[in-house]
Amino acid sequence: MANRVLVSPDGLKISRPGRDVLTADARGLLFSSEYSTPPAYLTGATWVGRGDWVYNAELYYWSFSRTIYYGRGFANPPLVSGMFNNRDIFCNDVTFPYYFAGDVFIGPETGKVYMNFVADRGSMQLQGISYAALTTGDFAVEYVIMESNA
Amino acid sequence: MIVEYGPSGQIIHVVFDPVPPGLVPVLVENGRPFIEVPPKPLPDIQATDENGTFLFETVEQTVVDDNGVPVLDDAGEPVVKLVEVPLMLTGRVESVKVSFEDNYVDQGALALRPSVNLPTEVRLGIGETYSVELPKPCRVLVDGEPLTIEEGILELQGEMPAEYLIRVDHFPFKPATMKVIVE
Repeated sequence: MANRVLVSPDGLKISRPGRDVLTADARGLLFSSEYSTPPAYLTGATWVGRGDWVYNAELYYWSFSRTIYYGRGFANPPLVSGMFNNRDIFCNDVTFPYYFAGDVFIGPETGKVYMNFVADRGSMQLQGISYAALTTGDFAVEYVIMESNA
Repeated sequence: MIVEYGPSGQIIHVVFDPVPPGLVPVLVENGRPFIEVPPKPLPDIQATDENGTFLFETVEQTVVDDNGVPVLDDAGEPVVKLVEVPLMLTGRVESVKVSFEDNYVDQGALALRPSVNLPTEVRLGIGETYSVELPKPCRVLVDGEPLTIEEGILELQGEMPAEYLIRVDHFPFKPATMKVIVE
């Protein structure tokens, strides 16, 4: 059975079931007194390929949309942050519902990617808009949902 | 790890370990195609401190005689002694590495995307020909123009000096690009 609670001169750590508290990284911890921010609830990555873009002929832009399920509701939208192909271009936007938004350089023109976080449905919407999507190639978005105010 | 995939098997979303317990039922409920890729268990190892020194813990151990029978004290209780044993790190796991570009889901299992045997550059003289074996059928882009090769053979013929860029983009094969120079 894995060690799950560690009390040391540095503080207190509690690991998730099945994870050894002596070796667990931040995602494997339920609690750590070392953190000023809570540990991650879920981390993941999603893929946006060329074929995922749909052209809006009236507004002359390409867009994509993807629903990401995270499996539970939150009383309030938690902090969500992420990276675009390992380039940390996203910044947190406190204006609901775009808790995860930023300008991303996805080709010769700048596009936008948003995380539209639905607090009580267990899903969020990844949305992107670009005027030159076909030149961008494929890309991945990595994200982390903080277990802040479950 | 949860791996969600599209109709062709292209991986579109990955949830890293540890997977939240409520996620799988939600995916099933919403009809999302996915597979679960459990982490690989790692052997237990002895814990060390920050200097690399092995750590031990003190545990009670029942004293036994030469026949392996517990020794009892006057009150009939098993005699125990304190011994130091290695402090072991247990339950260690390692997540399986999944790549959007290198993997796909084939028949409900994680698989490696095959590669097309395509040279990066081909030089042709006028009148010369060159054949490339491709999947059958296969979608290619010749200088960005889509073309479907039905017979599995792309034949190139040097007619006039020029350069072409041929990109094979046919899932699940990994994309490959070949530059053709006619001199």
